[in-house]
Amino acid sequence: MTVAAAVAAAGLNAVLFAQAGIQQSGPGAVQDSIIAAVNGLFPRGGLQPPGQPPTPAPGTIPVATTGGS
Amino acid sequence: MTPPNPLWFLDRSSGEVTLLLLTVVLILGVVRAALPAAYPLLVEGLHINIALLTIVFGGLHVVSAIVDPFAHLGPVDAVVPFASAYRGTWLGLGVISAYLYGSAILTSWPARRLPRSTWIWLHRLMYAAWLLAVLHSLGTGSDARNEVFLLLNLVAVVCALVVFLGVRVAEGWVRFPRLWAALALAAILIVLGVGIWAAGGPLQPGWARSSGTPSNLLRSP
Repeated sequence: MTVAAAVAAAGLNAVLFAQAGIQQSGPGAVQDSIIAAVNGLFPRGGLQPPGQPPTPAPGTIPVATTGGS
Repeated sequence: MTPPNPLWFLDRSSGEVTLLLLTVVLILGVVRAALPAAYPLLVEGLHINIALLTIVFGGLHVVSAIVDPFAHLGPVDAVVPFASAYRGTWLGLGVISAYLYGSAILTSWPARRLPRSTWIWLHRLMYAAWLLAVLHSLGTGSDARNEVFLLLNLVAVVCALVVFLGVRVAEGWVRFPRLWAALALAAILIVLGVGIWAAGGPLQPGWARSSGTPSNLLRSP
């Protein structure tokens, strides 16, 4: 029961974390702030918001991906 | 103004979870004291384990508040009551609550070293610790008007009051009816008082300014 209580508390913490962020800044801002924090911790991780096109690594030639087969 | 970052949200969410866990610890303690024969190992085990879990989330609440750059809180604000420039009065109540809670834990763990009567009176400080935590949550909390946080606070206060009246007062009433009638009345009046204060204070627009938020952190003048 203690483990269940700990899991429930952690889950509630996650829900309230999102709720506090959405209430204050909107869903996009929460996502952006998390991405900014992850990028702060792992600067070479290359994590970007979903709406942003991928950035090619230095020294590589971008390949067009439009169209389909 | 520095925009809020995830640590600021983590501070608030872990603070709310800490208050809810503290409420569970209080309720289990009330049940254990009033009904010592009711599943003693289960109730006492949960009481102790969730009390320790409360320290984990309380620690997360304090550390994230200190590390987060939004409110500019420092270690001194976390240990010296009423020293903070950010909502100092209400933050100070949280610091005192933590000290009272810590005294109840330290005098119980790893073993009760004090005379039983002294330990019981120290342990009763948990009621004050919980009440101060509720006031801290409403007064300092940026989420007092957030529906989810408000509902959780309401549920916590109602549950604590119902268990206190239905279990602790009902058990004590048999031996000392006048004393427990007075304690029941005091509990009801305190909860009503907190409700009236919250309705006229933290739940009203403009509380951020009147509660002592530095002007550079306010969204609008």
